[in-house]
Formats: sequence, C-alpha cells, structure tokens
Amino acid sequence: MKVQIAQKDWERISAYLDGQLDPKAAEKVKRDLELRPNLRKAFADLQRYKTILKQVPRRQVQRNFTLKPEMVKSKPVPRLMPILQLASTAIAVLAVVLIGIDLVPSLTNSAAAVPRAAALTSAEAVPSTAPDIIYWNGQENYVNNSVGSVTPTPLAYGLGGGVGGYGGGPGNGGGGGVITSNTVNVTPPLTQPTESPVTPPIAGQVVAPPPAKNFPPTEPTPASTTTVNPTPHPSEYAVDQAIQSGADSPILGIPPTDQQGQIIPAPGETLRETVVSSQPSHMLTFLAIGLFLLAAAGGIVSWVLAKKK
Amino acid sequence: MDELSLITSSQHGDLDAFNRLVITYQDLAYNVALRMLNDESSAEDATQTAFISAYRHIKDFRGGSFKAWVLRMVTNSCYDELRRKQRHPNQPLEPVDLESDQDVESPAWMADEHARDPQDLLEQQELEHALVHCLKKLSEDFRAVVVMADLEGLDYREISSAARIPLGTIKSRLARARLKLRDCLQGFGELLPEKFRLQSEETE
Repeated sequence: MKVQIAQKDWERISAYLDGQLDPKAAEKVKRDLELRPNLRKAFADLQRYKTILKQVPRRQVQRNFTLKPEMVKSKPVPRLMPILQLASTAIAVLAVVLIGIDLVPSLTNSAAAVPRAAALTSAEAVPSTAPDIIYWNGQENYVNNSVGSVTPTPLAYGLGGGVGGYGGGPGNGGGGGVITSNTVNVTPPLTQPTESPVTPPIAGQVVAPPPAKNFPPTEPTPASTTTVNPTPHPSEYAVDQAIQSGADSPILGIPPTDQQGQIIPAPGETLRETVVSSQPSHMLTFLAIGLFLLAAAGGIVSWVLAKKK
Repeated sequence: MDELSLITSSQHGDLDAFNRLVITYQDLAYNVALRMLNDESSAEDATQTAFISAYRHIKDFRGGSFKAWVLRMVTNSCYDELRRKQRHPNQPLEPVDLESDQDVESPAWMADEHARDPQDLLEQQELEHALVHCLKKLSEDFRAVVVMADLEGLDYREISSAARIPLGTIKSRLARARLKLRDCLQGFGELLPEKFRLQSEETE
C-alpha cells in the first residue's frame, strides 16, 4: 500500500535522520512521528534506504594520485602574451584618444554651425541676386529681364571680360565687353578704353569701379551685332530689379558702395573649406575603428593564450 | 605530523607533505568522482586533476575542513569533465572476455577484496548496478549532494562547503534527491535482492 506524505515532512524527517535539526525542531518531528503513522512509515523507509546505500561497496583506488614535481610545474607563460596584453591596452587607449580628438572639434563646430550655415546660405544666395550678364549694344546697354523685354541702361563700365574675376564673362574687357547667354551671338572686337588701364582682378577680391566719367563713350562698330534671345535667364530679372531699386553697382559682382573694400568669400571657397576640414575627421574615425578592432584581436589572442596556459 | 602541519608545509611548497594529504583523501576523492562520472578512467583523470589543482591553490586555503576543500576541487573537476563529455560525447570501451567475446560487467580487477562471499558479491553488484542506473537519472547537483551525504557520509556543513551551497539548500536538495533515488530503487523491486528492497509510499 502506498502512503502519501508532504514534501516538507519528507525534508524534515530527512534532516532529522541526519541529526541536522535544532533541538526544538527535532522534538517536534519526534512528536509527529509518534502521532502520524504515515510519517513513521516514511521515516522507517528512509532509514532503510540509508542502510542500503551504506552497503554499496566502495571502490579501491587502483593507483596512487600522489603528485610528481613535473606534474605541478607551472607552464611558462608565453612571451607573446604580456606583449599582446600591453599592446592591446595601448591600442585601446590610443583609439579612445583619437575618438576624443575627433569628437572635441565636432562639438565646437556644432556650436559654430549655425552662423556658418547662415553665412553659407547668404553666400549661396549671391548668384541669384547678383546678376552676371550684361548685354552691350554699342550706344546703349541692355539688360535682359525676366519678362523678355530689353531694358536700356546707362553705359556700363567695369572690368568684365576674359581676364576678370568670377563676375566676368568671356568678353574682351571693360567697357566694351560682350557676354553671351544661351543663344547670344556676339561679334568681337570691341574697343577697350584707352584711359585708366585696369589690372585684372584676382578671384575673391573686389575692385571698386572707376568713375563712369572716365570712360569715353564708345562708338559702335559696324561689325558689332548682337542678337538677344527672347528667353530670359532667371538671374537677369534680379539684375533688373537691382537696377530699378537704385543699387550702386549691379554689374558683375561689384558690390554696392557700403560693401566696398570688404572681402566676401566666394560660395565655392566656403564649401571647399568645409569639405577639406571634414576629411581628417573621417580619417580619424576610421583609424579609431581600426585600432579598436586591432585591440580586440589582441585581447582575444591573449585570452586564448591564457586559457591554454 | 598532523593535518594542519602538512597543510602548512604544503603551502610552503613541500610536495611530500602534500602527497601525504593526497594519500589520506585519494580514496574518498576517487569514489566521489566515480559516482559522479560513472566512468573509471574519467574518475581517475578528474581525481588527478583535482589534486593538481588543490596543490596549486593550496595557498588559498584559509582553514576549515580540508576534506571539504579537497572535495570542492573534486566536484569542480567532475563538473568540468561532465561538460567536456557533453561537448564531445564518446562511447566508453567495455572490458571484453576474449574467450566468449562478450562484455564483462564486472571484471576480476574490479572485485572488492572485502566481499569474499560470492553470494554477497553478486548481491552487491546488483545493488551497484541499480544505484549506478538511478544516479545517472539524477541531475548533477542532486547527484553530488546525495553521493557526498549518503555514500561518503559527509555532514551537511562539509557538503555545504564543498558544493558552495547554503545549508538550507543542502537540506532540501538532499531530501529531494533521496526521494528520487529511493523511488528509482523501488522501481527495481524484485530485481534487487530481498535485503535491498524498499517499501513504497508517496509524497504529495
């Protein structure tokens, strides 16, 4: 017949059998054993179990396990291991330093990013507001506006021409320079002014225009024929607007009088600076990642060597 | 020379002193390893490894039961061996009787010198066979506790120190292991000699 006892009772009589209960708990188990036949039966069974296990023969060792000096001699640490450990640590530190170097300028740059971006935006906006294309037609100068009409303007002056700054076109020089648009056919040459020879401007520099009165009126040459394309260039409208609003010098990037003498960086130059300054940052990042990988590889090799030891 | 002096000498690098300790505890260590691993060669390897490890770390011994400390090395070594076997399972070679070409379960060199009566020897072999079968069914943790307590006679504190388990856990784990082992042995029923049979009752 099978009897059931609780797991807790089984644990109690197990500990009681081994003499591992404190006197109070042992006394309680002793009382329960007297009162509960099931528990008493289980206890008797446990006693028998222990008796049986004690009769299991012990195996005699077939040999001695005493140690010999060569058995306990510690294996020499591979020479490579400390070097690898040191190298891995050094590489990891170097990688952290590189990342720090990489991060600090980017943090400072981010603070200055807003004004720089604003400057970049204004610099990019220059071409849309500063008209580059002027049409000469001998006696009168015309500016092609956005609606396709040609507006006569006072005589243009300046340095435009092949040797001019970025505001210049492929013309022949000041005064009589000819700048073409998409379908403008120009027949050179135009006469250059004889007075006030002007040195060609250097890119990025702004040269103040000579006074208009120094330029003698140039007679139109018969060979000079210009066909104006009725389709206007988008920037031409801005030129027209600048002229109408009374700007001082709407010609070829020549700034108004209040901006003369100031150096305004060209948009291309600003962009180039940004690109050049970001290249070392990428290099540092790649270098740091490479160093981290190298450190990890060294660490793994060290760990494997230590494990083998 | 008492045990403490041998331990102190061993801590100073005296290998002979340590070997005297080995001789004292090698029988216990080997039997625990054998019951844990159920394979003689593995048990020998585990025992040897445990003693080597014990010598190398004897400076870390801070007093208490040296027997429990050695058994901790043995059980750790057995766990390592069991894990290694799980990773690389292999079929142990069984001793074979060349004349009959059959497996010999208990070759002559395994015979216990103290069991002189053939009838007793046979009954003990049957009991051992049942015990080996039931110990295999226990988990490693339960097996270690029941082997140390019921087969090797260690007290709870020594088992707690050897297995690095709290005393309360030892109590409950041992009780459950005993219950499982007893149930398993009961399953052998008539297969066991009458003097080794257990009556049966159930726990809720």
